[in-house]
Amino acid sequence: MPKLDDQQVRGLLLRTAAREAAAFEQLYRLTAPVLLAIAMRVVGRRELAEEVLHDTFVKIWRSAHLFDPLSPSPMAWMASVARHRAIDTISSGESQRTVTDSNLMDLLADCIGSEEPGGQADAESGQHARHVRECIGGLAAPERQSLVLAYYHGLSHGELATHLQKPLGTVKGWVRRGLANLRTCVEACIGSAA
Amino acid sequence: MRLFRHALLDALCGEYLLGTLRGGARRRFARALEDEPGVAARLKYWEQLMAIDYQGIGAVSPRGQTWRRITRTLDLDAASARPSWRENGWRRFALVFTAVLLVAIAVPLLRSPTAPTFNTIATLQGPSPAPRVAVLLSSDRARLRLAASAPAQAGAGHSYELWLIADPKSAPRPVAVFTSLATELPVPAEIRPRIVAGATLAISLEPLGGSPQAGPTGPVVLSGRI
Repeated sequence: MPKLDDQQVRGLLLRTAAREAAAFEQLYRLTAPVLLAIAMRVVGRRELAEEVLHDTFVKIWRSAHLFDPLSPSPMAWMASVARHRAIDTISSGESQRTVTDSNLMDLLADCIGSEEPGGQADAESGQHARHVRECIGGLAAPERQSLVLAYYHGLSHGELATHLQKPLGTVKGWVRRGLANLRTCVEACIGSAA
Repeated sequence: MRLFRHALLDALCGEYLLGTLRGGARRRFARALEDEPGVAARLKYWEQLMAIDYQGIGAVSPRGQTWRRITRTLDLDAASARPSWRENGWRRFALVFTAVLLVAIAVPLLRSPTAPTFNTIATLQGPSPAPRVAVLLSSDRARLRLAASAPAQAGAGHSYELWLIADPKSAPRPVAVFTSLATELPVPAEIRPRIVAGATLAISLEPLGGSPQAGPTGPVVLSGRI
């Protein structure tokens, strides 16, 4: 899939905020495939993911005026709407998800894999994404597994404990320490790059 | 307890973003995002810090029926059937002409209580070369507008944060986080009654996303009394 152009997405979002239905449809055609992929990662089932996509775009239409035009990544804002809706859906118990080891390896590869040549038009955001990838890759294995499974697959603490066959308290500790270590690492990268 | 002062605010932001904050705790956090600007600013910092490159996530083409359902839910067919600026020819001319007439004749009559006006309530100043910033409050007290005498951005890795200090003995209360000194900001409901004569407004320079603590952590670059 071609890289999404942040400026184009930003423009369409702002026109959506101005209630331009044609711009909203263009925004959907452009971004829905990525948002559906994000939803499928979290909820695990196609029908539910399409439901999440529906709710996501309804919310985007209704809250596009809340989007900050100065935000560096309009796609991140839209992805955040999709992820939160997907998590609310699985929190209500509508989804049964399974994570196989091959899924997990795919997820890890996506998360810490090598950068695509020319994949980042914007040097600053590309550098930041690289920092995040490197920092995730540098976490202790249980912390990395926990964060990746929770973020990309929407697993709760309980589901992580089941999948990783560890006590709930241990898994909660991995998540919390993983987040703290990831934050410290990314902040240090930003500081050293500034 | 205000979540903004919670010792685990960063952990809660991280787990909310990650998705492991669930149930009642997630709902409480979502409420705090609406009620406490400091919490929303801190989450924004986390979102920017953890920005994921979504190009690697892949793409799945949605089914046609999903878009059709969205258009039905939002009644978009009716929205797109309304006249738009993109129409050409005489129809467009008629629309423009009507709009000009509306502006010239009807707008003064339509200036109603639903269209708030803005009044200057303070001028913030700092050490040179910082620009002066006029602060305007909307008549419904819901929005603040900042008008700088010269363009100014917070710079990479930083945000501005606006604080309200009711009197010299009071702790600063966070009002909003922003990156440009020419902007318009929503005023949290709890702040609105406190914007009164004698109170002080101050802008500090903070890490991206706002102060990680209850009060300012960076230098105060501009301040002024209401």
